[in-house]
Amino acid sequence: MDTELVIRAQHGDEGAFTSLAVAVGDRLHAVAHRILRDTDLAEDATQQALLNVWRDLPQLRDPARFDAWSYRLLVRACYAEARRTRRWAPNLRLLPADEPMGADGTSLVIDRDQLERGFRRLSIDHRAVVVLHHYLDLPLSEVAEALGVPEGTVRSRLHHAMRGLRAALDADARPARREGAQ
Amino acid sequence: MSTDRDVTRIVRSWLDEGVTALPDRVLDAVLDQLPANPQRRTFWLARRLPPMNSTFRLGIAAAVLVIAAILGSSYINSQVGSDQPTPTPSPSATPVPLPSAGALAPGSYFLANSDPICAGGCSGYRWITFTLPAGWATSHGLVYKHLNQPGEVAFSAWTVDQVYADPCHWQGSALSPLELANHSHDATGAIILAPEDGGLANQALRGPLPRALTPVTLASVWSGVSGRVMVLRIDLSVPTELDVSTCDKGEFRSWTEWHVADGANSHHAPSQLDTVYMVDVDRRPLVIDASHMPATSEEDLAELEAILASMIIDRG
Repeated sequence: MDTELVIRAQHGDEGAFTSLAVAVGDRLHAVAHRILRDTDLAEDATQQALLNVWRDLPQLRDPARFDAWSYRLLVRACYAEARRTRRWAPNLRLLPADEPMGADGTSLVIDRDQLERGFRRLSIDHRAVVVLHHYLDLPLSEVAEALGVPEGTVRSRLHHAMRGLRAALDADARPARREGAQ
Repeated sequence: MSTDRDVTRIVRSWLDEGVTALPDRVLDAVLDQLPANPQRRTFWLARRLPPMNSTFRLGIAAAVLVIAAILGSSYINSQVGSDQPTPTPSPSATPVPLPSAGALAPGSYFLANSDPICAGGCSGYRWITFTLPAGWATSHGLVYKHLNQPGEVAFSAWTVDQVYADPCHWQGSALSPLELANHSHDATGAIILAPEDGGLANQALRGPLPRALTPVTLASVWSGVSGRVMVLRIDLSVPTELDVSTCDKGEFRSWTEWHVADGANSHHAPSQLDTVYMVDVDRRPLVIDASHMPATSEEDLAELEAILASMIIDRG
């Protein structure tokens, strides 16, 4: 991140903030969408997070920590959007014609559906850890800084989340009971 | 059964799919709203008021020269305890940053979280706004009337780390989490506390046992949405006969401050009464300590209650 850009935006330079927003907007939106699993909520969260970045930027003491700080604001905005809309409204998407198949011949769509269900059962806290670590490839220390929690808490949340996702994947892998078993 | 490596690979592949670009209309909407969303200017709050011991209470106060800058108006250099005349600051209509020190005009202020990036974990709030009547002042995060006098009334906000079992002989004291540090919620949202032998409810020298933890609420704002936030209130006292000079380093310490080397709340004096509010925000609880003395006037107590009633916890 260009710290000069951050500093200029801190001092009210709207042009500098515009450049900043263009530079980070896609990444913030991608993270929000993966946490909230809803296009509309993600757009609202990203919009609010960017506005909060503009408004609170003068409070950021160290411009070099802008990235972690912006993720913090984004996750807070995701909390707020999740609280506004508790009912899950699925976003339908068209399946590509050449849907990849698993080694046993079953569609990997099953994996995605199971993951989606398992992921939605996670709290925003747990989703954020999974997305920041496995999508953005942030080391756990940086995830901890971004979320404002100890690294041990991040490890615990990640372990819990991945265990839940593994259970969701395995739930479909368990064989059905045989009819007429003695 | 999936192996851990399989799950990680599948999750990463799954996360790689999906939206990556922010629609232009969203960015345009942000830029269109910039004029209506002024930046919040602030300056960094200084450290806590020096520990209050018996010598301090006899009126020996360090001279503090502070320059306070307020949005839209100006404060002058202020010296605590000085005989120099102090022009009256003009009232503020919209919340302004709480100065580092000095007399406060009646109006609305905000006390910003001293660690907005919350490195390593702190209380999850952006700032606390409140409205003050005339006659109040501040120094290093403490807001007060009649400082170090028999009628003192004051309040401050904290991210608490741990609670001393013995607030007088604290150097060798056991430490325990704040009551609200580890909690959950039932289906109604009510707070369920984890079993804890320590905490403020069991802190020595803080008044008769058992001590009630009373559920209350405070006003809050979260991403622009007004609401209430759950709070646990507890009333504490400092023994009248206590000679604070016999305590470790001459300080009566209630709790340690999160992420501040040797940081602690030591603003306590014999007979002091503290009403402590443990606010349920993200990560660590926010703690508001509202204190007064037996000789505090009913009028000043009423002002403190009104200030607390005006508080809004902005969670960002």
